Amino acid sequence: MKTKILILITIFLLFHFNGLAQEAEKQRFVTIKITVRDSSDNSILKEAAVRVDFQKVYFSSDSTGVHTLYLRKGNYSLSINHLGYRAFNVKLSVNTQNINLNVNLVNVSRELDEVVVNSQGGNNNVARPLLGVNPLSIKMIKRIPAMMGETDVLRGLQMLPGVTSVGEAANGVNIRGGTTDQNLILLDDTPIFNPTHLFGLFSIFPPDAVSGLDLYKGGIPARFSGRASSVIDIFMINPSLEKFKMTGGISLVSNRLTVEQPLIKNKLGIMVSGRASFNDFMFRLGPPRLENIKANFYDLATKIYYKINTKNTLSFSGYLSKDFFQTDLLGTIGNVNATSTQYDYSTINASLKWFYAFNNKLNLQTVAVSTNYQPKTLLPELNSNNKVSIESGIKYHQLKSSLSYNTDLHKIEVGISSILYNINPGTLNPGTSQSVNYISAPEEKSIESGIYIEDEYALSKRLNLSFGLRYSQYWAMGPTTVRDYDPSLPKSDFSVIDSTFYQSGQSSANYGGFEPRLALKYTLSELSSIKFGYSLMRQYLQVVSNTTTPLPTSRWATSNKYIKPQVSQLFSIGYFKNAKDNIYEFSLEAYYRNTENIIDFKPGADFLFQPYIETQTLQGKGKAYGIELMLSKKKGAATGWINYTYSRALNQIKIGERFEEQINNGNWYATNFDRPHSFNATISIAQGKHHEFGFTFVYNTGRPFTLPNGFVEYNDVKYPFYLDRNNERIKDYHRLDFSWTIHNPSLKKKRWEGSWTFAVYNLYGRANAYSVYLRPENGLRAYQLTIFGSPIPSLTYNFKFL
Amino acid sequence: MNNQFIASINRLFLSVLILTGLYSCIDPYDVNFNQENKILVVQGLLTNDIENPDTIKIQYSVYTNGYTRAKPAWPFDVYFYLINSKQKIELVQTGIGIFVPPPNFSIEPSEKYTLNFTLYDAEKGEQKYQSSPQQASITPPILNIHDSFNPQSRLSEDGKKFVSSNDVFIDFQDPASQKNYYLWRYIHFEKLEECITCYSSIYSPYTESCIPMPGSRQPYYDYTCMTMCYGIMKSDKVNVFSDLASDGRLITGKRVAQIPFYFVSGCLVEIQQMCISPDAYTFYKNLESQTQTNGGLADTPPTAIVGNISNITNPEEKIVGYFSVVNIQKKRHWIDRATATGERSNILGHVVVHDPSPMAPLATCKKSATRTPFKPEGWQ
Repeated sequence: MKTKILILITIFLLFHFNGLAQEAEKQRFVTIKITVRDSSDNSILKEAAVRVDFQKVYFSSDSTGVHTLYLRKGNYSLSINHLGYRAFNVKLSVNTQNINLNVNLVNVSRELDEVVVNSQGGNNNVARPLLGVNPLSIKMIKRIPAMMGETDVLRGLQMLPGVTSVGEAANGVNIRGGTTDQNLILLDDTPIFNPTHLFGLFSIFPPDAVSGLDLYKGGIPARFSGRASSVIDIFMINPSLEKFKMTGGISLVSNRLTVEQPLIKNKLGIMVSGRASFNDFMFRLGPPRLENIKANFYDLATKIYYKINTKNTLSFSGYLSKDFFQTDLLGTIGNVNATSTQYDYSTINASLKWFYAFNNKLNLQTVAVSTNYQPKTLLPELNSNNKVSIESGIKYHQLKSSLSYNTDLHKIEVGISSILYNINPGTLNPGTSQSVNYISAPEEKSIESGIYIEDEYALSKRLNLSFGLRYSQYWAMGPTTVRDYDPSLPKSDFSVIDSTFYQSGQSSANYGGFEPRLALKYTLSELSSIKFGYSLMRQYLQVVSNTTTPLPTSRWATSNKYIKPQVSQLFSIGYFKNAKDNIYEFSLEAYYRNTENIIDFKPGADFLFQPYIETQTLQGKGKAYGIELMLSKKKGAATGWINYTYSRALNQIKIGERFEEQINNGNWYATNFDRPHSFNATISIAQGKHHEFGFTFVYNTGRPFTLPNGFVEYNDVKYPFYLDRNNERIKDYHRLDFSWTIHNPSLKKKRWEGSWTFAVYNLYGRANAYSVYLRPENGLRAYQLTIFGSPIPSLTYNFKFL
Repeated sequence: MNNQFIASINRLFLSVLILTGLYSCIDPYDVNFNQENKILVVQGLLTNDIENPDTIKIQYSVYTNGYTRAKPAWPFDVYFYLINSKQKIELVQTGIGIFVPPPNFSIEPSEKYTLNFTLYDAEKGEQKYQSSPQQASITPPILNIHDSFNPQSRLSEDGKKFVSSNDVFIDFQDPASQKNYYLWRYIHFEKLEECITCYSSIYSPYTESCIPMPGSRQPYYDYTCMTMCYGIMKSDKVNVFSDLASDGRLITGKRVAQIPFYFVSGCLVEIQQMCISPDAYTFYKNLESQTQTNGGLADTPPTAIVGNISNITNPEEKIVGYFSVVNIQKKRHWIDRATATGERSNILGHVVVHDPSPMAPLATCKKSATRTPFKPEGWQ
């Protein structure tokens, strides 16, 4: 019996000690209980992947969805992932206390405003009958690694398929084979004629004042007109009507500040955003020959938003931009003894918009627009306070009104618009100078009016139609003198046979016509569709430039008896497919555009003070075609897109048999921005709330340049002899950029939140050629100019006070 | 756009690049000029200077294997045609493809002239060429010339440093109420110490030329002049001007020459001023822009330097050159170089190396396009 008792005691003790040992072992660990829920409806999420220190993976959860982990004391990185949800990362300090963690994961399919998404829903890509439309939020543009810390709308656009430029310092972008002036760039309805600061290095749009943009490169709605290639519709943020907000930043190039202030709570608010560069001092740090150089810019944007009542809202947008440069290299006009040459460009834009809602379905929108673009060249005279100036300018006034009627079946809009152009082609203002005369090329006045209707409706369950029809009419107005030329001779001062003077109010030439816009969508499935598009655009205002990219001082000219309006027709077709709750988007688009009356210039053309621009220009045909593939991931911790474009852009100029009446013997030739292969990749990776990494990679075929066909000796000097324009290409362009943003490094939740962005532009230091040119040097030698030949690191501090 | 403004915009653009972080750079670029061409080149002016008429050169410029050379063209039936008086004036041949107007031929202000000639092509047969009609313009006289020493007048050929020069300026009165386009040339005389350079050869006083000297380690020798000798140099840059902004004004201080600082002693320069037609102005402006690009965004696309000569048998042919009829105004100016200091340029383009032989001969000064033993008029 005793023995049995002893055995039982022994067994008991063994079990007891084993249990004690187990308890003791357990007590060396701390229990972590994690409950994972969907943030939107608090439903339990089972089978979440829990990673500790990025290594071990646990898939344990009980029936209530609680994941239990046992961890020793110490510090751990915990990452909780679930398919379709944004990852949750946390630093965990494990002591003696057990921990209960409640984690709410955000379903990425509900994140609508993250990247390239349309404000109207997640599958617009497939569902709406629109082709060649790329909405781009400022949030995404800010994620793209910025050159020298300056968030740049135009550089962001160039990451999209079909958008290229002539190089890193281009005064605009080329969209689907169009010239820079064939893009209608609107900032809150006001047109922008010079979209860059510092000769194309930075775009003029203050990033904190912009909320986003729509790029229309294919199906252009009938409400837009006046340009042959595309529309870049940029909108400013509406001021907060609830509380004061402030954002800003400091970078090497500029300082920024944006404030939003409600004036009457929930009714009236104002936003003011300013940006200015203060970098003149750097020239004094450079070589002595740069000491007299000055280069500065600033821009100021404002928006006042007044919600009068439930039916009426009124908003005013204003924009001011100014650039000032000075060089000691003298431009010579007449016989001015100047001490330097100064360039002074300014833009003043304003728009006033009244929105009236008759009811939920019907509303009226009326906008008045005014733009004044004024480039000036100044020559300060030696031993005098006088400055001789060359002034030009564009004054643009527009009034437009549209009526929208939306039902479940239709989205109808009808509208009218009228634009008054006033162009000063050039005035030489001598001031008190005795060296030069007052010269002024006559002002060009013209009117462009339009009336349109557009509708979007379903023809059947699968077939949707977007239809627009615009009629535009243009009048070149007096006072003006129109010459008649001998038709058997090239237009020049020597072939004039007669001239007619038109009084103020008389029309010297008029053009007009219908501009149909059509898009058809055929739904293949809920997540895929094919589309077809056609649009015709007329352009009456163009830049006439003989430089690689238009200069801020380039001449703008409206159509007249001899400068015919440009007319482009675009045919496009596309296949669109979305996947995984619209997280992934795929599109394949092909297009063909032909343009009549593209404008080019005669050899040796000089536009300065030239009243009869037809004597310096030639008109011809353009064609562009291409295929664009794009895959984007719109939501999640890692977002971004990749795209590939094959495209060509060619021109043909032949108006006569003479040498000066044709280019390349009248054969098709590649434009300056013809870059057949283009590949872009943009990836943004969010690591928790505080870290964000961005990568972009760009590849383009090198742009064409003109190589001499040989050399000749003339008056004992060797000159290159050119016959064919753009007969060679510079080397291919590629570049990788990187950025790392640390949001709110203090980790404290305060109204003031700062962030640091470290970025490297051109990470592997590729010396991409901007241009190739010949220089006299023991004969002639070829050189390449590289704008950014090495990695450019930058550090930017941004802040917000919300 | 005005070339000077384009140059200043390009300069500013490149400076801004430097400002933005010194990341821009300019590197030699290997271009495969694997091209060959044979272009007919016509040079020359018909001027009112009867004593020293311009020569009219008609020759091919041939480019092969990276070298450009002149090739005789053998033109025949070369003449001026006077449109109003319907006269044909035969030109006098002074060399292969080189012609001058007949003696005492003078231009009439009201007459219109064309240059005409014929070439024989083995494949295409006879090819007839003709210039556009040209009428002499009236050129205002040069009122004043002055010069000023400029230590940073221009960049060296390799673009790495500044070279000093005496900048020469003129004043003239632009005629009112008419469009005028000006072209300037200059002839520059320097007294020479060395009369000839022999490359891989030595000078022979018997043949008055260089004779081969195989195996010489020194690539060249320079030989001192036996007598007084003057070098003749001509402007190698195109200099044109339009009175668009200063019609009828007194034009003062227009720079027309940059004479390098070769010697501390003075030199002589002859400035030639002429008014040309608007088309000729465009031609010379195109010529000027061919070599003034720097890759910046204000560069204009290059274009063929085709002038006003056309092949009327085969209009497709592109011919380089412009035939103009001009009234020429000349004025000479002595540059004393009194204020010139600093580093001097080598007039021969290299450091002078004399033949070390104790019997090294002196070289004669043979009259040519670049040398003269006769003291130029105006030499001080």
